[in-house]
Amino acid sequence: MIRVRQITKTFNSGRPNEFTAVSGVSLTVNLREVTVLKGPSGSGKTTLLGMVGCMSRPTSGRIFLGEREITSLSERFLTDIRRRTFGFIFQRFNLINGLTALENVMAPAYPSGERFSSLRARALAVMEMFDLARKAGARVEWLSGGEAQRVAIARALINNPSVVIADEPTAHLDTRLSHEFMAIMRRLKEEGKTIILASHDPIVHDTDLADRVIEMRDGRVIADGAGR
Amino acid sequence: MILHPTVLALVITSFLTSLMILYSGYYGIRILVNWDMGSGSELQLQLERRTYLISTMVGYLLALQLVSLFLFIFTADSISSLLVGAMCAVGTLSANGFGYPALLLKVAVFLLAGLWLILNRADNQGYDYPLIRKKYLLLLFMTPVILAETVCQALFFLGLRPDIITSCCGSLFSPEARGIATEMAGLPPLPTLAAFYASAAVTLASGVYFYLKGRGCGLFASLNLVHLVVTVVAIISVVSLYIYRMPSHHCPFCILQREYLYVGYPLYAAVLTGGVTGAGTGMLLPFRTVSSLREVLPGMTRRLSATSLACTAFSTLLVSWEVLATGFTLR
Repeated sequence: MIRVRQITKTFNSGRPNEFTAVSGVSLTVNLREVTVLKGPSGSGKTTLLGMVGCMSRPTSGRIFLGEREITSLSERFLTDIRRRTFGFIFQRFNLINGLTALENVMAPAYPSGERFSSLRARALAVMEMFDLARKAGARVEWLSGGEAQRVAIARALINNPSVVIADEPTAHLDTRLSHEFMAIMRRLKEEGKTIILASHDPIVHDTDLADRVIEMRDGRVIADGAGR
Repeated sequence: MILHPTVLALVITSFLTSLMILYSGYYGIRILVNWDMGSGSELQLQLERRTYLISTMVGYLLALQLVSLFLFIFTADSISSLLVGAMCAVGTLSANGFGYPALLLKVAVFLLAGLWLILNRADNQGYDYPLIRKKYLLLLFMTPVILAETVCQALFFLGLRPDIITSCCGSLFSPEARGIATEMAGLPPLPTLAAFYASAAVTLASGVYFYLKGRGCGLFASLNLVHLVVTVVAIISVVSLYIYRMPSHHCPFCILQREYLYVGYPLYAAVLTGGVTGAGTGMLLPFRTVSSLREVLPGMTRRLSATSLACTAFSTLLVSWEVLATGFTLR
């Protein structure tokens, strides 16, 4: 279970351009469920996802991963949790241009010290799951939008995380590819992964896949209920 | 003031360390007063982030202070040729009233800095800042010592003038002189040597016992501190005689010179490092039951005790080499 307790995130604190992106949010994410954060642009979904996934730190409040409080951890402990527990799929995929699809998928696992041959075999196996094996040697800038999306998903899964976080995953996909993405999420849920999606796309938040839909506006939770 | 590069380096590093210590002391007080891991307040989260930065910077500066003791001794020795009457670091340190206080304060800072670095390292191994209050309490205790060292050292170097006639080590350790140095030099040589070997043997035995069995940590730490004092006394009383091959020259600084193959540097480095790591082992003893340190602390204390044992064994072998290999005899 992931518990968020009274989280606030303020940027440029004390300056004229001070901005509070998330304000006093408390919520609980159950494991092995799909939780969708919905809300318009600027509602604080991405900022909240970043804090839950240990990508950034709150200004105040605490986040608990199981029994372990994670906001107080120093970077040396946080890096390990981020690497082992969370897999991220970014809105703009954030693939590294100039590297091949295989190299992009392998990148998050390099610090683990795993033998290169074993890591490569594992990365190819993950890519095979998403029908990407043929594209392993292709540079990512040559891939189509759907292929790039699937490479980003494969990269998020390379460390076998228990929680997959996706921020506006369908923002750059057409309807067919968006449904394809949701099918992949369904497979991951069946495998027992916890999935947190942030989106204002109805394909994502109106799906029967969502166990829970949390609605945000102006940095606050305004509704929290079961999915369809 | 003599504008020697090492003098400038020493003054600047001490000044920087003092500034950083004052800044971290301020945060130390805030941490001691406001720290509450159960709270998710903005202040608590700020302190958590800030302590990581501060302890990293203080760690580097205190590591620099460890080196600074040897640089100070090296400087005192190397500029002695500029002072009338001085033959080694003794002459330089005697040139004004701040020389010896600065040296003693630098030794104190070395020991305290070593212990703080060990405590900081242990604290960083725990995910929940288990030793944070102790760490900052020790830092606050160290603050006046470090500030006094900076002032004393600055006054010492500022007061050095080549036209001042100073005294050499021969007069400081002569039978006519008075003071603790003469008392140490006047101790009977062979019984003092026997006391050194007995102290080394007991310290090494207790260290090996702790390393193998994991028990007797407090005894090992206490014996290390005793052995540190015994070794310094033995160097002045008897070991120096073997190094110089002269029955009446007791200076603990001439052994830092080229004529004696700079043997003083490895000897003092081993003695001080052995003392600090040995005492550090005992300092961590009360924290072995802290839940977040329970798994990492045994390994850390074992490594510290191994370092201490290696240093004590090395200094004992170095002394034995000087005693046995020179052919000089006091009988």
